[in-house]
Parts: sequence; C-alpha cells; structure tokens
Amino acid sequence: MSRLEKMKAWLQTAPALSDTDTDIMVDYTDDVPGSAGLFPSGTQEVSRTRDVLGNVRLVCRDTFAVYLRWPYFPDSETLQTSEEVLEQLADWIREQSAARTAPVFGDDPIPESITVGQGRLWGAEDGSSVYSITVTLTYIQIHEGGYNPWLI
Amino acid sequence: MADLTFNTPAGQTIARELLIAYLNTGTSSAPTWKAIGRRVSDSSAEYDFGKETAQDVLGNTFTTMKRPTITQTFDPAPLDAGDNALVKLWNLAIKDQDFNALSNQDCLIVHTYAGTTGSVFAERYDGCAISITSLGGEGGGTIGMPIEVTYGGTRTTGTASVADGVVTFTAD
Repeated sequence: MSRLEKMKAWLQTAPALSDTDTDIMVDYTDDVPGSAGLFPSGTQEVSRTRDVLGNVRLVCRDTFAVYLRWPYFPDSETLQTSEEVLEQLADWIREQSAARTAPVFGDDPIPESITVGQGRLWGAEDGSSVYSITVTLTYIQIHEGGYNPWLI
Repeated sequence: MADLTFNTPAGQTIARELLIAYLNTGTSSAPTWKAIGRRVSDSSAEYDFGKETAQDVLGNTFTTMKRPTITQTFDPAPLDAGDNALVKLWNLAIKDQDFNALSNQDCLIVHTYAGTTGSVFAERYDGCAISITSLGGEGGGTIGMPIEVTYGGTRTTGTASVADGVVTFTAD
C-alpha cells in the first residue's frame, strides 16, 4: 500500500470526519458539502546518512493538504462547529502520532512523526465552505547495503 | 609478506563500507562473523603506537614506537533484535555483567579493498576487550548502546572470503 493510500485510509477513520459522506478523494474535492480531498505535495528528502556498513538511512517528509467542504451558513454557530471539527481532526492526528497508534509509513517506526499545520477557512461560496489543514509526515527509509556481500 | 595491492580502481577513493569489523557470535573453533556498525555513521580504528620522542644533549631527536594498541568506538549503536552482535554484547554486558567474557572477545577486521577480490586481507584478534559505555537515549528516541572495542589477544593475519552469506577467515 502506498503512503498516499495509507494516509487516506487512516484519515478516513478520524472521528471528526465520520460525517464525511464519501471517500476522501485525491487531488479533488467535490462540490457537495461533506466531501473531502487529500492533496499530496510530494516527498522531500530531509537528510541522508550512510552507516559504516554502507546502509543508507533517509529522513523523508511528505506534506498533505486536507480539504473539507461543509455547508456554509454565515451564522456563528455553523462557523464555530466547522472550526471545532477542524480542531478535533488536528487533535486526533496529534494524539495518534504521540501514542504511536498511527500507521507506520517508513522502515523505522520509532522516530516517525505526524504533525499538523495551521487549519483555516479556505473559501466559501454557494452555500458551502472549504476548510484546509496541513498534515506533515516525517518518516525513515532504510536502504540496505545489499550490493555488499560482506554485510553479514 | 609481500606488499598487498588495493583491488579498487586507481584514481578512486575507497568506500568506507569496504572496511568491516566483525564479532564472532559463534565459537572459537566454528566462528560466526557478524558485522558491527549498523546505523553507526562514523567509526574509526584508532592506532596508538605509543610514540615517545626524546632529544639528547647534543640535540639529536630519537623516537620510539611500540606495537599499536587499536581501539574503535561504535556510537550510538542502537539496539536491534536482528543484530546478533549487539544482542550478544547486551547479554554479556547488561544482563550478566560478565566482564571476563567481555575482555576476551573474538573479532575480525576485514579489509575488503586489499588483496585480491574474493580473498582479501583480514586480521583476527582473539582477545578483544569490548566495553559498553552507556545504555539509553533521549525520550522519544531509541535505545543506544555505544561500544568500545580494544583489539587484543593474539593477532592472526590471513585472508577472508564470503560465500552464501558466510564470512570465512583463513590464517596465513
């Protein structure tokens, strides 16, 4: 399973998104309130270290933007509810990462982390609003020195 | 013994992973060599030749040296259930605190860049002292068990070969 698939499946289990009507889509958010979209922005290699045996350890970072479309009524109760859902989603992600109950994305689960960036109202029109939140995944990739037959 | 040549291309530097230290996790007569240094990004064997320099009353300088004492540190050496060398050392040092055994470990240094490919230069030290310098690490991180090896005992030179995942040492 790719990291994108894993992230999508995991976010789908977030209690804050239980009201989401459809599956989270990739690179697209439907116009229907209750829809959600996951927008990956690639992998950044943060660091690369090679141990004395030739094994390479990469620290990588994937960033995803999560877009959520909800009904939009310019009253304080609706807007506050939307912001609270965003807050619940962010808290849930942080809790899962801190408790190490989030899925493992790389080759070494211990140093992995999933952090949440700012969430905000992205735009509102035609009775629906789009909120976004940034999720950053930091994980380890290990490339064994398999080319070296002396590594026993 | 005739000088050895390096088996790497001339004009190229030699990759660090072509110098490998092994710990014998088997027995003396039927050794099982396990490479040390997984996840250790920097480790060098330090050679102390005990160099002493003196100057006589006429101003002449004389220097003496001894057979070297070789020490090598592997830090942080994170614990890993799949690393048989670290598991063995953890049992000896942490569980049993068996300092006698720790000071009589069997190590092999293989210079895979020297000699002919398939039969490279190696040196075996049958009485190495391996000390654990600490055990732990920062919260949220991993358990590290840095080790320091002082190569000692009888030094036997020879050649090493590898086949089917098994390193074999042959004494000269």
